[in-house]
Amino acid sequence: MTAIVEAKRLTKVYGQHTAVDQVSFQIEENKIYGLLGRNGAGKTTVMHMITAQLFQTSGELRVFGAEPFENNEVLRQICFIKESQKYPDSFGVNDVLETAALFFPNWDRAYANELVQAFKLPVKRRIKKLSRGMLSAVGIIVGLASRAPLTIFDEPYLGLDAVARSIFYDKLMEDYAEHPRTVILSTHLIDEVSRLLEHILVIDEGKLLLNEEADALRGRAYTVTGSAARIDSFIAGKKVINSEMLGNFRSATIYGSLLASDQKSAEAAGLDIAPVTIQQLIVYLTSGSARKEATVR
Amino acid sequence: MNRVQGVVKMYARDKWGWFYLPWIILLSSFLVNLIIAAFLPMDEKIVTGGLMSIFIYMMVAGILSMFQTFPFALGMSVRRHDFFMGTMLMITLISIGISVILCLLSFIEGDVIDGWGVRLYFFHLPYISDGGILSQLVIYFSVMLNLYMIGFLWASLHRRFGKSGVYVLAIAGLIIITLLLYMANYFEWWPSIRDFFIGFTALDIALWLLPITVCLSVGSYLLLRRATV
Amino acid sequence: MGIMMDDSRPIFVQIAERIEDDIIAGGLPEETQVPSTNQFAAFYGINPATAAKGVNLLVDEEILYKKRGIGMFVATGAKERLMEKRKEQFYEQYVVTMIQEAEKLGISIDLLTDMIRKKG
Repeated sequence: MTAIVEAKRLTKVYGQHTAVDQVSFQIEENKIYGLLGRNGAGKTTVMHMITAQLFQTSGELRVFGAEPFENNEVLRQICFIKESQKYPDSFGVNDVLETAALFFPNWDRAYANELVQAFKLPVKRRIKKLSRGMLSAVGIIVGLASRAPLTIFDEPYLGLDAVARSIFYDKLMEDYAEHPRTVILSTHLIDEVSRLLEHILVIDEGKLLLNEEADALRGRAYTVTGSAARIDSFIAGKKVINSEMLGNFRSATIYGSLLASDQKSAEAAGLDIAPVTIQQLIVYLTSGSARKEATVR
Repeated sequence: MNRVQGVVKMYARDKWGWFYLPWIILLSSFLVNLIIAAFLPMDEKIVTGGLMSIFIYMMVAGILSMFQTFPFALGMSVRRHDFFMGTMLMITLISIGISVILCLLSFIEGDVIDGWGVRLYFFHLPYISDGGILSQLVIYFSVMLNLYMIGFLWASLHRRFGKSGVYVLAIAGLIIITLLLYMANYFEWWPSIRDFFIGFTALDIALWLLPITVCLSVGSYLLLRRATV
Repeated sequence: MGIMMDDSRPIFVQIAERIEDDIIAGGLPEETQVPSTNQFAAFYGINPATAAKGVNLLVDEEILYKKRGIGMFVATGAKERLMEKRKEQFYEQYVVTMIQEAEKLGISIDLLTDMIRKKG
């Protein structure tokens, strides 16, 4: 497998604040990655560094085997769509699409038009006059029609309704099947996208928390519920990532695959076992920091 | 596709900002002056500074290029270097174009329809038109480029160092200027300063402006290289 | 988008199970071609690589086999082997659990067999 992005101990410090802390990972060719984590976890900073829009404080970063900074061979292969993208005030939707055609070597004009239809976008309208959802659709169209070997979407669908989001997922998978490329998708809507992802990176408080295949995370945790005393003896020696109490009733989420022996002993103790989805897993893993924050304040 | 050319084409898509708005501003200024001149009951020549409007507009354009087009260009995976070169190429072409049209208008005003029949001298200005049409072309071009670069450098500074950087520079600049003015008064430099400038033609000054503009341009390139969005 | 997938179990396993279900139910007779990974991916709204992994799982178990340049086909005898496998799973998943639950409730094996007969 060819590594498209190679980050080694990538770090970004703003004054006293370490936004990205010694993050190392590899992005492999033609896979769809999910870059997940809470707001302010450092995801956007990482994506800005990959695209040379921000500079790392320390660490090494190679994109398509080279430094991305001021490197056309690298940059022309990247399309980075972000929620905060600025456009010239006077530009209309068609100006943006025509400009994208100038700079992305694989730009497919016919496909862009097809997407404009799918998202019902008014091409003549000025960007400034678009609704938030339409603005997101412009980014999505640029991201898809550029067919860049590395396409990065950072929260691409602010203001888009469920129908439009589902159009995005369908179009992305459809076009990806025909024109495989490397995609990094950063989002909060984990439940919606998890099945599109092949690999998942989770960043929490600037640190890389998880770096695994999506399917390996399904069934990575389970929740047991039952009487408190029995739960306590069952979870002894296990890694509990979440636990809740209701009277004498307790539920605990355990990190780790459910072993047949554990399943038997849980069943024997009359405990209920429920699977945990990827979204729940990530929420449990990253909310530890939320609790820390709460006690600090 | 050459990406520097791409940047020029990207700018050129903004027809309103580059091709219509400067002339609308200049033309409205001209029309107001024309109406006033037509109603003023005197026989002397009326010389106005309305032409300045298009030059000031160029400074604003320099600021907007950096604030609006730079982040967009980076979003289109354009290199900072290519954005800069494309911007320089675009503003050079625009400055040449505008200067040629201004010279043409000056020629019409001066030699074809003298003062538009109402003694108004809006394009054919004394001192600037002293050296003939070619020197006038160079003057317009140089001043326009210079003002654009001032705006561009200012905005680059803002991009690179944020608001605080701009404030620090503004305060430092004010202190230096105040100090110089104070010294000029104290040491009675004013007469010699006046004599110094009187010795130069507008063309001389315009030519001296060119290396200054190049310095501004190099400065903004260095800032832009490390600017983030 | 797509048909609901359970996000708490590996999707490639679920894909393999659905193909198995189809073979058992007769929707995919032996020696017929199964849809391509891209078709599976589009239909279920999942990543093609994940769909491919599910299909390959069944290739490893010799339920499916690959015809070069054409695609994946259901192997002869696949249905029978799947039925055998499912019967074992049925015993583990349902019969054993049922007997455990019956014991908890004090239902004797005789009573349990009577209950099953009544239903049948």
